Amino acid sequence: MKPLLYLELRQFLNALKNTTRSPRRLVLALIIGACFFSWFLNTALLVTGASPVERSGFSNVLERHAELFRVGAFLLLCFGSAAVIYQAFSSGSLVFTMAHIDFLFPTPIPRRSVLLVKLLKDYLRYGFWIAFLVTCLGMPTSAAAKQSFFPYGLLSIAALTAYMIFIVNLAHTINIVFTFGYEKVKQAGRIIKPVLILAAVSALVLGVFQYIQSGGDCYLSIHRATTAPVVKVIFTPADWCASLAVAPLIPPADTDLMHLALLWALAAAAFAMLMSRRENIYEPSLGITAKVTRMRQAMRAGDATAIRVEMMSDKGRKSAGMLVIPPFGRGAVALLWKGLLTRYRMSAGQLAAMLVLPALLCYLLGNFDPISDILKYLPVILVYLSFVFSITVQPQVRSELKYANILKAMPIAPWKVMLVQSISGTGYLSLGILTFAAAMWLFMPAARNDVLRACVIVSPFLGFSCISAAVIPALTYPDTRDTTQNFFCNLVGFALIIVAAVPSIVLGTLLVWLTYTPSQASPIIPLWITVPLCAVNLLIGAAGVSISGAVFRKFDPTSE
Amino acid sequence: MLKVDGLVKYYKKTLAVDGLSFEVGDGEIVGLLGPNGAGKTTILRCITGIVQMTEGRIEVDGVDLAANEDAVKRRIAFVPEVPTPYEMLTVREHLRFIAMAYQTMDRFEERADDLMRRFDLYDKRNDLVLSLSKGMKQKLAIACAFIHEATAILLDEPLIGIDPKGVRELKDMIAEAKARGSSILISTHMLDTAEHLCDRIIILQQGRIIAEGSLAELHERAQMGRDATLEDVFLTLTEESSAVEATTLS
Repeated sequence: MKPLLYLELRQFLNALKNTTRSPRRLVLALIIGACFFSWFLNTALLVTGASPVERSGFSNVLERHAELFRVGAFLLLCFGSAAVIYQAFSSGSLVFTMAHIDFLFPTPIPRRSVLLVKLLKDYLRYGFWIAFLVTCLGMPTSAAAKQSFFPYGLLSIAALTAYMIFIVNLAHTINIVFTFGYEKVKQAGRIIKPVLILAAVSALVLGVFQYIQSGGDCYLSIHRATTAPVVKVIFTPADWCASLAVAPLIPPADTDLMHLALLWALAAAAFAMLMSRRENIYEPSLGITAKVTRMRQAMRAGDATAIRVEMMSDKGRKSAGMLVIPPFGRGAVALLWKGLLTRYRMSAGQLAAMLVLPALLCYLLGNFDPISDILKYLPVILVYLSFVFSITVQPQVRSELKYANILKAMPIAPWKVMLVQSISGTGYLSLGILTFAAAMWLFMPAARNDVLRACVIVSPFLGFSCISAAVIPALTYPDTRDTTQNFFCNLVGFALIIVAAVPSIVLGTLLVWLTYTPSQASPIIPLWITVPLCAVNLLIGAAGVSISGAVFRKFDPTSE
Repeated sequence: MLKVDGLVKYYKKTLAVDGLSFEVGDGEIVGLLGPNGAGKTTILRCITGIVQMTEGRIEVDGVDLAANEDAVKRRIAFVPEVPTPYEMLTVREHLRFIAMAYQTMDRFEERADDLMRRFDLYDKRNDLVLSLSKGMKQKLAIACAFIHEATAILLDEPLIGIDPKGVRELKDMIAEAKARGSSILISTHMLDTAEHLCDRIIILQQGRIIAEGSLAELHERAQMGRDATLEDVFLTLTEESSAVEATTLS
C-alpha cells in the first residue's frame, strides 16, 4: 500500500507544482477557477435572496410539475444504469492508465491494494463531480422555485453518489465474472439481459396503453411507463435515488431517509462483493484502458476525426462499405467533396440516430402537455442550434489542419481552402437544421408558423458567419497536444462566434420588434426580414474567410 | 530458471497461446521470435501475471506463479514494448516508486545513481517524465527493470527507439545479468539482435512453437547452410509452417 500512496501523492503534488510554476498554466488555471467561483457565487446569491431573478414562468412550471423532475431523474438513472450494466457483459469497465499497465501491474503489489486505491480515487472523483453538477443545476432551479437548495441538496448529493458507487461496483463485478467464467456463467447472462429487455418492453407497453387512453399525452405516457411493475421492481434503487435527487424541490419523507441509508448499504455491499473477487482484475482492463487512453488523447486534442475513428473502431467497422462514393470536381471543389464525404463515415446506427432522434424529440415535445404554451416559439431554438453547432465545428477544422502541410502544397488559394472548411461545416450544420425543422413541421403542429420559416432561412447563414469566425483561432492555436493552446483556441473561438452573432441578434431583434404582429394562434413575421439578416451574415462570413485565408497563407499550422 | 509448461491462453473464445512449453536456464538468454500476432506479448504478460493463463504452469526458481504470485513477481523484471511511464513523476521518483514496489530500498540511492548515469538520465533526474523524449522514456523503463536484482528478466522489444550508446549499455547490462545467473527472455522483431545476443531462439507462430534451438540447430532444422542469416531461417520456417497449416485446413 505504501508505494501506491507514494505514487498518488507525488503525482498530485507534481501536478500542482507543474501548474503553479508555468505562468501560462497558472493563468489558465486562475481563469478557469475565477469563472467557476464567480458562477458559484452568483448562484449562491440567488439562494440567499440578495438579488433573486424573477423567473415567474419557470416558477409556475416548477410548482405545477415538480413530479416531472422526479420522473426525469428516474428515467435518466434507469437508462444510465441499464446501459452501464449491459455494457459490462461485453467490454471492460475498470479503466487504469497505460503507466499502470506497464509499470504497476508487473510489480508484486497485491492486486487488491491496487484495486482499493483505484476505487477510492474513483469514488472521490464521482463525489466531487456529482456535488459540483448537482450544486450547479440545483441552486438556480431551487432559486427559481423560491426554495432553498440546502440542506436537502446534500441529501441529493449523498443519494446520487451512493447510487453511482453501487452501479459502478456492480458493473465491475459482472465484467470480471464474465471475462473469466465466460462459458460457465453464460446462462446467467442469458437471464440478466432478457430481464433488462423485459423491463423496457413492459414500460413500453404500459406507456403506449396510457398514450392511447389519454389521447396522445406523452408526459402522462412516460409517467405511466416509469411506474410499470417490472420497472419498479428492477430499478427500485433508482426510484429511491430519483426521489432523493429532487429533494430540494419535493421535501423528502421519512421513508426517503431510510432509502438513503439503504442506498449506502447497497453501495457498501457491492464494494464488498467486488473486493472479494479472486480473479485477475488486470486482464479485463487492458483493452478498455488502451481504448479510453486513445479517446482521451483525441478529446483533449479536440481532434474530431480521431474521436470518430475511435467510435467506428468500437463498432468494428473496417471498410467504407456502402459509403464509397467516387471523387468529384477539381481543386477546391474536390477538397470540399472529400470534406463532405469523410464526415459521413460513421456507423449505420449513428446515421439513423441523427435522423430518428430529432423526430422523436419533436414528437415528444409536441405532445408534452406542460410546455404546450411555448411550442409556437420553439423554432427559435434552430438559431440557437446553429450557434451551438458552429462551436462544435472548430475541432473538426483543427483536425483537418493537421494535414495543413498537404493542403498548403496543393495549388489552391489559401482563402479557398478556408472557404472549403467553412462551407463543409455549414453544409453539415444546414443539414442538421433542416432535419430538426422538418421534424418540427411534421410533429409539432403548433410550430408550423412564420417563426419556423424565418429561422430555417436565417440559421444556415448565421452558422456560416459563426463557423468562419471559429476557424481563425484554430489557425493561430494549431497545436492540439497543448492543453493551453486548446483552451485559448476554444475561448477565443467562443468569443469570436459571439462577435459574429451580435449583428444578427441586434438586427433580428430590431426587425422583429418593428414588424411583429401579435396573434392568438401563431406569431406573424414577414418573410422579407430574413433578407437583410442573411446578407449581413454572408458579409461577416466572407470577412472571416478572408482573415483566415490571410492567416493560413502566413502561418504554418503544423508548427508548435 | 524460468519454466513455462503447457501454457494455454484464451481471450474469451480466441486462442492466443496454444500449449506452449519452454525453459530459460540460469545465465541463459533466449529470444522469442515470431510474426505479429504470434502471441509473444501475451506470453510475457502471462509470465508477469498481467493476464491470467487459461491452463498451464509457470515457475520462476521453482516457485509456482499460480500458488505464489507475489513471490514470482518479486523475482521478475519486465520492460514493456513502447513503455508509457508515469508522466507526473520525476525520473528519480519513478525509480524510487519501482524500488518501493519491489521492496528493494536498501542501496537504492547508489543503484539509482549508477543506472541514471549509465543511461544518461542523471542530468534529468529531477525532471518530470513528461518532458522526456521517447528514447529517454525507453531508457527509464530499462533502468526501472534493473533497479532490483531480478532472477528472470523479460524484455519486450527493448532496443527500439534508443540511441547506440543506450543499446550498448543495455547489452552490457544483459551480459552482466547473464553472468549473475539470471534467466533472460527477449521478445524481438530485430533478428540481427537476436542472432548476436541470444543463446537460444524460439520461433512462434499462431501461439505455437514451430522451431526452437541454437542458431546452428535452427540452420539444420531449416536445411540451410551455415552462411544463412537468422532472417533467412526465420522466413523459411514461418513460411513452411504456414504452408503446412494451409494444407491441414484444406
